[in-house]
Amino acid sequence: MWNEESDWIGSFDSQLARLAECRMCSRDRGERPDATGMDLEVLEVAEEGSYGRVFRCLDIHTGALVTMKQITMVRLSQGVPAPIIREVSLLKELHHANIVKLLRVGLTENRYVNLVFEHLDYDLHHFIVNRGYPKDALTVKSFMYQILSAVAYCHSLKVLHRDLKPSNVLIDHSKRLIKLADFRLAGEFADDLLYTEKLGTSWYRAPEILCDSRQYSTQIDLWSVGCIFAEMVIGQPLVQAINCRDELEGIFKLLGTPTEETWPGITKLMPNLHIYYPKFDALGLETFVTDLEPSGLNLLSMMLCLDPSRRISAEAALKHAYFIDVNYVSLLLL
Amino acid sequence: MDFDLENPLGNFHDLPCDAVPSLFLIESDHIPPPNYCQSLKASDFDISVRRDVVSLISQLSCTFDPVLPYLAINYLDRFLANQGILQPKPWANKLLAVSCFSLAAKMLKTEYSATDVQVLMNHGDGGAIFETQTIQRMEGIVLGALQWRMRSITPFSFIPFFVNLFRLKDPALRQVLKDRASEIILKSQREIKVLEFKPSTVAASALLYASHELFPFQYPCFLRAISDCSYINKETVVQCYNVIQDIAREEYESVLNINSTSDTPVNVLDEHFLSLESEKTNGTNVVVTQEQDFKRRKTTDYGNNRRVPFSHFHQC
Repeated sequence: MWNEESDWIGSFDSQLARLAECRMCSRDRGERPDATGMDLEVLEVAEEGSYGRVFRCLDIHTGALVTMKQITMVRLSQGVPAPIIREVSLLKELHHANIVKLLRVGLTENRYVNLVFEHLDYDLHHFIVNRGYPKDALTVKSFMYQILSAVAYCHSLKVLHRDLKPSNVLIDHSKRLIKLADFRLAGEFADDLLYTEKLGTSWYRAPEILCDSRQYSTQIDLWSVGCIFAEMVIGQPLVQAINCRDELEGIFKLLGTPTEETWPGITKLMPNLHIYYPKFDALGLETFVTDLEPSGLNLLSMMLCLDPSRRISAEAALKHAYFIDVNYVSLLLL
Repeated sequence: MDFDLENPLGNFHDLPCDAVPSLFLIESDHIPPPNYCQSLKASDFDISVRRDVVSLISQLSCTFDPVLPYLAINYLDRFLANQGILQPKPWANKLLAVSCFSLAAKMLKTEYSATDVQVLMNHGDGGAIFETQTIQRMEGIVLGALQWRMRSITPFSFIPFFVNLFRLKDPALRQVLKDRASEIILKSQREIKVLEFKPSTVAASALLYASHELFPFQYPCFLRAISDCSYINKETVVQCYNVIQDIAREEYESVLNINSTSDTPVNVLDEHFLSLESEKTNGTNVVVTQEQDFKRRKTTDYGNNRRVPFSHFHQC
């Protein structure tokens, strides 16, 4: 580890020598990375993403399971990429019981930034699909309270998640503890966020983003939380479309096509709204989310509000009547 | 509220009220540990190395926003506190300066020309030209030493919060106060003594000093506003204020040396020192009399006039 170098100038000299050696021997690299520099043993490849890969690892010292996210550095002509530095720097400032903990960061092979996170058993996506969605109302309420607590904390620090969805909501099953993961904090990834057409990525995206608006703020996370809320209750995504345009149409079918009265500014944002989309009347959330108590339905409707400026904030949501009858002590003990 | 999503060092007053404690609580994580200042004082060599690297960073940053060199020097101090200064190698000082500057520029999303950096670093000797891979490697070492916590909280982060406490109505006057306080903060960072204080304390002291210079009549109100702030230790602010006062006095002496041909009467400068000394004797809660007020206003004008050539000289 870099921190263990007692003499950084001497180590720099020796690293330059090692660099020359590496260029001469030009060894092949296998698929499985050498993580000994991180004091980790790689167990399996968990995921391949657009920016790198995710591995399940064993911490050599503690024996604990950890998740290592390996980001490939590009544009090396400018040193360590600025977006990575900014993103990791912000992750380092997030300390909350409901946010997955970044244990340490290291550079390997002069090509990768390795982020080592604590490992949790499940994510909410698998919990819904494989174990049957959390049918009891108390679990849904507990999960929602924890998710909103984490989101409110981030927003208080001017940090957006930007990619909230069930697979980014991790669960410590034995404790019924929720931890948010996979933050995309920096604006550098906004383009990727806006234009990704991968299946399922648009299902939790706020309408102002689906409209290609670049003027978005914390409210985008609240829309995503609302979608997660509905999915926990009904056991499947609320609107399952294959692209942004169809996703938006599905939302309009459910909530009604927006007008200047329901969403002030919409005609400026989408001048051709009524050319591309029929004028739907709202079907209403209650027709789809049938097993939710009235106060829960009320909270859900405030999260899934088309107009971002009228959408409820995470902080206000935590004070909503839906959570009043929950014993907060029991929430903390869960 | 329109969040500034792109600036990790965003202005403090944009944060909701409940975020105030968090910034004050975590600021100590972003400065060198307390013993760093003492270990620097214990070694003339260490002080000279720091001064050398600070000077290099200042050359690299002279055309940029003052937050940039401040952030880079913060990285330098935190790095030296973690790694120490073990070998005297001129190329190492330059490499460290370039890396801290580069990392600060990246955090602030500031574009700079790598060619200009090369030219500046090679000026004065036939020194090593750093390959980009070399700089990347050094950046990695600095990032590791700082545990990738690059979002340093600086005194600049607290200025809007304290200025709001002062309740100055005129936006132009607020800006003048902020600019002068920022200038004082930047200059004071060169002095090792200031490293002992937390960023919020430095910000409060710099603002008080600037307000005393610019708005002496309202200074007692500003002092009371700072004293009433529950996040601030008043005794520490007094100590820091005195350190900043000494640094600012040196600034005036430097200005005088630069403009040795000036025909400004020497007694004006004497009056300024006399006034400061008198205030120091009586403590910071001095009662302003009509005569003292007249005298202080005159010396303040003198100080204002002299700042322009000083800044110009320094940046060249």
